[in-house]
Amino acid sequence: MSELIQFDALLQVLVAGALVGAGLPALFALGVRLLSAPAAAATLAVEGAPSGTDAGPTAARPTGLRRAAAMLCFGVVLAACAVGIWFLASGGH
Amino acid sequence: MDDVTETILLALVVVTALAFDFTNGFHDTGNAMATSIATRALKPKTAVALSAVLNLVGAFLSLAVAATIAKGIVDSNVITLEVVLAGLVGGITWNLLTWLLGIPSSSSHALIGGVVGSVLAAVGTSGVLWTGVLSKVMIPALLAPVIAIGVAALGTFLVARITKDLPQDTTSRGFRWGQIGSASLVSLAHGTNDAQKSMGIILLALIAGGAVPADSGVPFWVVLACATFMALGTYLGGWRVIRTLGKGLVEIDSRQGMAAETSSAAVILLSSHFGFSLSTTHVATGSILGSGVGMPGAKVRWGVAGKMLAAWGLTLPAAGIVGALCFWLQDAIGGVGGTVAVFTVLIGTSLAIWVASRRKPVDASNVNDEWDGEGEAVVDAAESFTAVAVEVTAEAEATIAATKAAADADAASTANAADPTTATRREGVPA
Repeated sequence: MSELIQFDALLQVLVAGALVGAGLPALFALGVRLLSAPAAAATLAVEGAPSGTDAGPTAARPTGLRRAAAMLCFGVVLAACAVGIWFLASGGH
Repeated sequence: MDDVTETILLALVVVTALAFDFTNGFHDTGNAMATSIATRALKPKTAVALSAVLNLVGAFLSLAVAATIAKGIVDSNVITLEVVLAGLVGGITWNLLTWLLGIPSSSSHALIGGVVGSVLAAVGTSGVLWTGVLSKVMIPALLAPVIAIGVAALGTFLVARITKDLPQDTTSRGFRWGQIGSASLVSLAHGTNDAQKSMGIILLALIAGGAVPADSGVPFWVVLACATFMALGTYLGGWRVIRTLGKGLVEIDSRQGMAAETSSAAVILLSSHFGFSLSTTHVATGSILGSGVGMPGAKVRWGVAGKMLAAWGLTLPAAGIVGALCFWLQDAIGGVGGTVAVFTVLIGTSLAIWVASRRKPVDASNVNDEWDGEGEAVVDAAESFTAVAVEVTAEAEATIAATKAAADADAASTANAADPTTATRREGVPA
């Protein structure tokens, strides 16, 4: 069976896929949330994104800090895209 | 005379490979762009134009071509131009048929199926590496959607949770950008991976035909031609497949679209990085399903998904049967006549499928219409399939009979076989 399914590669794809493929949308969502009106959004800790569960509402942060945190989220997402394009261009497929 | 035969065969293989490249383009547009079209993040025409440009750019991005097709799946020593031609016809036929039925199915699996079939017809079971067929084609086809459903469901769930209490109109603008960005990455990856397959086939044919030295790189005109045909195919837009992916599986919003496309891009790139290559189509379809699974309250049409899974299971044998039939036809007639006959069957079949598609056309204007479950190509798959099968069988029988007649008539002078055969074929093709 193990010669038919490369379990180690499969596991790697699953774990990395979950981290990147689900983590990036979560980060992006966090960025969108941070940028939207503070009244509607309770702030979430940036690290809370991958698990995404209840990082309870705290006092609204200053807009500048929220904006910076949002830019950090989008920055990570953009950097991941750049890595993806670099991977394609380097023929790593 | 032999040189002429070889040249005609080579030319037809190149043309057929470009035709496959073209069907690959329009069959797979939906993988990247279906969700952006369904959520109206992009206008349908804009989406296919963007995807076409990115496929074009992607094709030039990297040229690490593996000059082997179906590597590790068939014995590379038995690959001849005849086998490749029959295999390509099998792949194209299955691509067109599934397009008619609006079913996303893997273009590379169709090609592999066609080649496996024609190898079986050429040298028998010894030419096929069955472990490779299982481990590189069948099992990944089952695992890819499962992985993609899992990743996209998790991503969608997190996104839905994080944006739960935000008003929809403020989120959708942001997510549309995210959706367009991630879909673009999928398009780019498609151009890079899939255009290279056709380049590899053409290079292989050129080497086999002695047109370029064995250690040759891909000539620039091949890169340009493959990139262009794939982009043209993409721009044509496989609207029937786009409709099924965007509207048929899940009612999708821009958050789900963004999560699904990011999942697709991540799983496609990571799987090739870890050497566990998965089909773009299977991953994209699984991701869209996953975005329905992970979204609280969303409805997933599992019936449509089941039909797709069935089609994926059929891809290899169905394309294989066409590939084998084509090889036998080619072999039975022999020489230029055989090659031209196979090419003519391809043109006839393509026309028949195109004519069938005009009965219920799907284009940019109605791709986003409500999914009513009745009269959709996928839902009526069995019915449509029978209709086409009848048409194509009649067509093929006529072609074979006419070709045989022509071949018999010209048995005395094989040198003249090509021209009368072609003439007979043209008359045999239904308008």
